[in-house]
Amino acid sequence: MSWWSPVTPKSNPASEAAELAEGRARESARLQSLADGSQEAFAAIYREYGQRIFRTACRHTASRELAEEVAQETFLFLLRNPGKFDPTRGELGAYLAGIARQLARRALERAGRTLPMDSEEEQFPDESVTNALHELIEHQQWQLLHEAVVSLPEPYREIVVMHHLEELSYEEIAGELACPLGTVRSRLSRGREILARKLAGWRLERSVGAEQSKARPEKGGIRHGMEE
Amino acid sequence: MEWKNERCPDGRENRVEPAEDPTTSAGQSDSRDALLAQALAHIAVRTGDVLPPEGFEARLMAAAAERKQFAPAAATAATMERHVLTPRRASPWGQRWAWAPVALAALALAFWIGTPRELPPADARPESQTASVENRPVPSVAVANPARRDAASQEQPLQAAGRARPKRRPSAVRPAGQTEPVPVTLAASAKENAPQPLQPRVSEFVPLEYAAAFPAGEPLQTVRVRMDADAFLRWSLPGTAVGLATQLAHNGRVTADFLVGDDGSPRAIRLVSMDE
Repeated sequence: MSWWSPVTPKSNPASEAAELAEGRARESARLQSLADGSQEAFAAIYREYGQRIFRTACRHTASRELAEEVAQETFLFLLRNPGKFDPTRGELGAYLAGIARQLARRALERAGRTLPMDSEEEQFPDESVTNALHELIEHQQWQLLHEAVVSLPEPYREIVVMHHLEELSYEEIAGELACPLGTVRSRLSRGREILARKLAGWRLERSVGAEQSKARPEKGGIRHGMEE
Repeated sequence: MEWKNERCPDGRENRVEPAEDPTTSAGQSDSRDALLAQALAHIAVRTGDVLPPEGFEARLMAAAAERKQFAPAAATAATMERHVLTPRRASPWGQRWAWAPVALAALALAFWIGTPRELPPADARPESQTASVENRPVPSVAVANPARRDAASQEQPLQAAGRARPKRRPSAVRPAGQTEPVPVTLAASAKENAPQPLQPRVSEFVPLEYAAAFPAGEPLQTVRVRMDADAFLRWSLPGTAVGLATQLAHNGRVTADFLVGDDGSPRAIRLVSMDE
């Protein structure tokens, strides 16, 4: 190997295990200090995990205001219940992210932004769904898409966000939600279907509205149709 | 949708959904899912670098303070909880502990007033005091001759100003070998009759962890505190001090001396035994 060739650091399992143990010991010490009433420990925990928790809250609520509320409540929950965290079950960041997800769910329910499970499902041809997605990507309507994801019925919203936005694997999601792997897969597939139909429906409504604005009385009525 | 009916071995009807045609719906479904995944990946990237708004940390800390999750400001200094004695820092939290030096100073003053002081050595004291103590006169309570009583009472100085003593009836009892009462001063009598103050045994001062960060030679005050043994053991102390505290704990409480700096935070601790 020549001296200018890039050198990739090799991972050492022993050192990784030592770092993991050190990190857990540090978290345990911080939580013990937090239980003793140390505001410095609380500030240190926020500085380490604050951005991650706020990001998780943003992804689950599609709203900065709701995300701020959720992130704040997450850290206040830890402040009230520092003893509820079990370091043997995982890292503190994952624990806080789980709390943020639950609080985001409650915040969305309070805001009335989720659809009920038995919402009426309209059937759209696959072509219409594909066109809707193409149009959405072409016009970069990411906020619209994000709000559509957030308004999915609850069992599907959380899994779609965790998989597609938080980029967690099926196994990680199954571990977080304590449900079988097959359930995760089926709910994710079902959630994507509902989302696609929802986007197609929105596109239909938009196209109908556009047609209404263009419609002339002398041509007689409103033209309905999915194709432009 | 068509269903293919089959019959189970036990006779019940079983409905099995036939496999879909892979050339039509499955292909379109894959295309749809790929597009959807592509669009959702954009959101993941877009929300990946989102930061909390400016001032969020300050609002969070203020909300935490409002809910009184940390040590309350009304905690008494006598309990000497650990969080009360942590060094003050330049943060909004420090304002809550601004009263701590004042409370400690008041505590130190109270102990200074209440602690019995040792007298200076005998050769350093005034002559009148040393003589009266060394003679150990027996206080007389009677005057043998009533005629002398008035004179004797005039000789005796008033023991305590403003404090009227009840007149006693003359008694014929007199200490053997003594014919006349000896005037005594109150100081000598009180000194003699007062119980000897307990001489507490003390251990060596144990410096606290963060004490090394403070400059050497700074003025320090000793504050004696009686506190819960559990609270005392929360300090990071060497094993010998912990063992000693366990031995000296009486009714779950220990007595300790704190070396306190001008900022109100302790630098070192020693244990005090008040048993003897």
